[in-house]
Amino acid sequence: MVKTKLSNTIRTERFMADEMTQADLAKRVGVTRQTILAIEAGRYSPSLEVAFKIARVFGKRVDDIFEYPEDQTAQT
Amino acid sequence: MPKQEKIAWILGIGSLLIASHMAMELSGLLHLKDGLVASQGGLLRLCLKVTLAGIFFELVGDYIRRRPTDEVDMDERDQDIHAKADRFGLWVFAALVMSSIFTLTGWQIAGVTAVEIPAMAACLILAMVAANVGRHVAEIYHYRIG
Repeated sequence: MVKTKLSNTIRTERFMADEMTQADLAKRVGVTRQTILAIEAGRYSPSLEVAFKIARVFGKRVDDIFEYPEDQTAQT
Repeated sequence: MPKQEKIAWILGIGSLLIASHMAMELSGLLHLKDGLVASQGGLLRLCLKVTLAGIFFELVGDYIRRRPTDEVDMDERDQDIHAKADRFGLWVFAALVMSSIFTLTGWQIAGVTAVEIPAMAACLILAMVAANVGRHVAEIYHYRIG
């Protein structure tokens, strides 16, 4: 299993949003449930468009949901 | 299992069956007679049969893949997986074409007086079929790992 460097708080946000299911989130974002599952598990980095859509579903900013480690940014 | 992964499995098994059928038939057809491949007509028939079967399978798969349903069928991750699988398939095809060229050259060195068009076509189509198997295997692999 290949993990991406991007971490996220989607699972927590779903829990906070009346325990929204992955299927509900997928429907609102316009992707498959498997894609949400892969993003949550850190196995897939979404496009900016999908990242914004996810953040907007929870009424947050993209960097509130997704985090990229500081040291990785410094290297690039 | 998501729809796209199911289709990948169906196409993977289908293309594997076509490839194994071709490989088995090919081993029977590629015997030499007076330094030439004996059954040229059989080789051409096999090439035609395998090409048509492959095209039919891919068209059916594509039709099922694009058939609209209530849910989101194909998103950016599916497209990403398909692109990776296509790239892998292309690499396999390139490698197999190179090995075919070396094999055919080896035949000439081994005393086959002329490498006929049917034998070359059969090698290229076998490479294409095997690359297609590789493409579907890569697709399944990427769906399984996430």
